[in-house]
Order: sequence, then structure tokens, then C-alpha cells
Amino acid sequence: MTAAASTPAVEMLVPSPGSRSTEWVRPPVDRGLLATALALALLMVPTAIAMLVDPREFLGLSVWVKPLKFELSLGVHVATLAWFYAYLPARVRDGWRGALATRLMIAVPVIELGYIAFHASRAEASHYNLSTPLNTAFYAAMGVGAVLLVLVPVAMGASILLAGEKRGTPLFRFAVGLGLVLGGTMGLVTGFALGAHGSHWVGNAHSDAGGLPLLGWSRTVGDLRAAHFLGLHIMQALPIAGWFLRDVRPSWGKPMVVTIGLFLVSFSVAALVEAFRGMPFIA
Amino acid sequence: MATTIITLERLFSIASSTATMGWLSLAAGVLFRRRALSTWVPGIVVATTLALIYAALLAAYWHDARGNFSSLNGIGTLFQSPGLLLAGWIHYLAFDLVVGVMIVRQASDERLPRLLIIALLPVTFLFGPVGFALFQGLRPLARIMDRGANRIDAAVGS
Repeated sequence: MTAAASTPAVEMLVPSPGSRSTEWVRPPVDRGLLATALALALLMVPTAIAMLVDPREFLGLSVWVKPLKFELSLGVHVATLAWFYAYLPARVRDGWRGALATRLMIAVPVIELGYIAFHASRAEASHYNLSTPLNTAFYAAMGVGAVLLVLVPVAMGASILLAGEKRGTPLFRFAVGLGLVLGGTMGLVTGFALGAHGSHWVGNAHSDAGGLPLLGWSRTVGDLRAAHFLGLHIMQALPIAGWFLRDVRPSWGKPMVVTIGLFLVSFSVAALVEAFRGMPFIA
Repeated sequence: MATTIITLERLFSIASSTATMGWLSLAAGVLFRRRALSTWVPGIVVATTLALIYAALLAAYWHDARGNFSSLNGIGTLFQSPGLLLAGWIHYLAFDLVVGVMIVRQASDERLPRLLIIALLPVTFLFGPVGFALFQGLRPLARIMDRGANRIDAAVGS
């Protein structure tokens, strides 16, 4: 063991106490956020039943596909925040910032989903719905909510990077914080692109029917949703990478995590550029 | 206009079979004294399944609602939509079953005769509130019979 310790490759790994704790198996989570995430996921059951019995379509697919997608994605989003909440410094968690963050991340997804499901049940648009002054006002309010949904992760990530709770390993903590910051930022940027463009398609398309399975992204014209997906999921992908690298010494590991993060960001940016040029993500 | 993946008629059969299985489980639970069959299966699994189907139908068909709840005629118009009609029927199935579960639970707490309860179950299944009313009427009678037995035993002095 001592002879092998002199080679740089072995020196990279530092067995730290955190990596063997049970928290990888049963991580501490914020209960309110976890309950919300589970509720969102469970709503997929009656939504799926509704999809089976409702003949109506919107943009070529069942009216209930969009609520289904948002139940899943909002569930994943809130579950992510539920877990990473434990990495915030205690004075943030126990103070007004923690209370505000959790309350927002419980209320906003529920309201957003309610708005989307309401319009879906009427076979109408939820996003981009400017048909009446009331709908326009609601759509604007939903925009504010969406911004909050991505800004809270950015704030959480920054707080974790600056003074995070000593949980897990230093490198995993770094990946969590950076993942939240990059994922939230790219979510914001791509979200603005979607809002400003007035449609998720760039090009002449009116139906999601020929799109990718499950995701529905267009295979013929540019689709801004791809970049939004890739950007947002950095907040899961980078921590996953950080978990695999969790025992690496931070002086080696942090540059690795930063590199992976930049790569993921460039992937999302590339999808954004490609979409704006009217090219489909996958043809 | 696309067709549905499950037709309303098919869903009606599924719901009716599910409810029937709930009632059979309830009866078996009383007969064989198994709490899981008389409480958990009908009261939680079956009732929740029916409730989820009901919620889905409401979500899918509430836009079809032409009537209202303020007159008999209004309700008739409401149920002209087949989706809402099925929803109404499932509401009926679900809650009759829940009442059955509650009757069994209360009868078990008050140690009422099991044969009596098993006789009441089909009545509640077919005629809901009649079964419930019969149960409410028979509860005090059963308790009087119980007290009567005690008095006789006391008189004999055994």
C-alpha cells in the first residue's frame, strides 16, 4: 500500500468518511418538498387514465400529454431540490431564506401544473395562450413562476458553493452546487428563448404528432424545448458525475467537474443555436 | 376526431368488475374474519382505484357539462354526456362500497352478529341507502338482544 501510494493516480483518491456513510442510501431530504414531488408524480396516474378515455387532441397529441410531461418533470425538479436542500448551510435552511425557498418550490409547481392541466382539460393552449386578456395575464404570471422555479436553484447552488453544509464529500458538494447554478442558469436562458420566440418551434410546424417519442420534439423543424431540457437537467447530470468522482481529491476533481459542467452547458447552447437555425435536434 | 384507447363501455365493465370484487372481498373478510379483506382491499385499494377513474373521467369530460345541479332536469341534461354519466355511476359504485366497509367496521366494533352483516351486504350493494338505513335500525335492536341475554343469564344465576 505504501509503495503504491507514491504514484499520482492513487494519490488522486482520498477515502473520506462521508463516502461510506448511509446518506447515499437514505439521503436527508426536506419533507415538504419530497411530499410535493411524490404528489406530482402520483398525479400521473389519473392523468394517464384521462389520456386513455379522452378522445380530444391538441397539436396532434392527446390533450393530456402535456400535463403528464410536466407532472414528471416538475416532480423530478422538486425531488432534486428536496435532496440538495440538505446541503445548504444551516443558517440559510433554518432562516427566512430556507422557509421562502421551500414554500415557493411547493406552491409554484402546483400552481403551474394547475394552470397547464386546466387548459389541457379544455383542449386549449397553456403556454403562449394570449386568446383573452385574462389568459394573457395568467400566462404572464406563469412566466414569473417559471423564472422563480429556476432562480431558486441558482440561489441554492451559490449558497452551497460558498458555505455548504459538510455533508457527503467535498467534491460531491461542489458538483451539487455547480450543477444547481449551471442548470438553473441554462434553464433561465433557454426559458427566455422559449418565451421570447412565442412558440417552441422555429419553422413551419403545427403538430407534435411526428416528433420524438415521449418528448415530442420536432424532427423536421427547430425545437427550443431540446435546449431547455438539456440545460435544466444539468442540475441532475453534474451531481451524478460528481457522485462517481466523489472520492477524488478536490484539487484534481474540481477542474474535472467544472470541465464536465462546461461541456454540458455547451451541449445545451449548441441545441439552442441549432434550433434557432430551424434544424431539428434529431431528424 | 380521434377515438379513445379505452372506450367508455369497456371502462364501465372494468369499473363494475372492480366494484364487485371489492364487495366479494368485503363479504369474505366478514365470513373468514380477515381484516385485510374487509378493510384494506375494498376500502383502500378498490375505492381508490374507482376514485382515480372517476377523477380522470371528470377531468376528461367536465367540459361536456351542459346541465346543472339546481333542478332534476338540469341533472338529466348533465348525464346526457356519456362520460359524465359513467363518472356518476362510478361515484355511486365507489361510495356504496365505502359505506359497506364502514358498516362492517362499525359492526365489528360493536360485535354485531356476522350473519346479519353478511345479509345486509347485498342490500347495500344493490340499494345503497336502504342497506345503510337497515343497519342503523338493526344496531339498537341487536344491542337490546344482547342486554336481554345478560338479564336472562343473571336471573338463572349461572
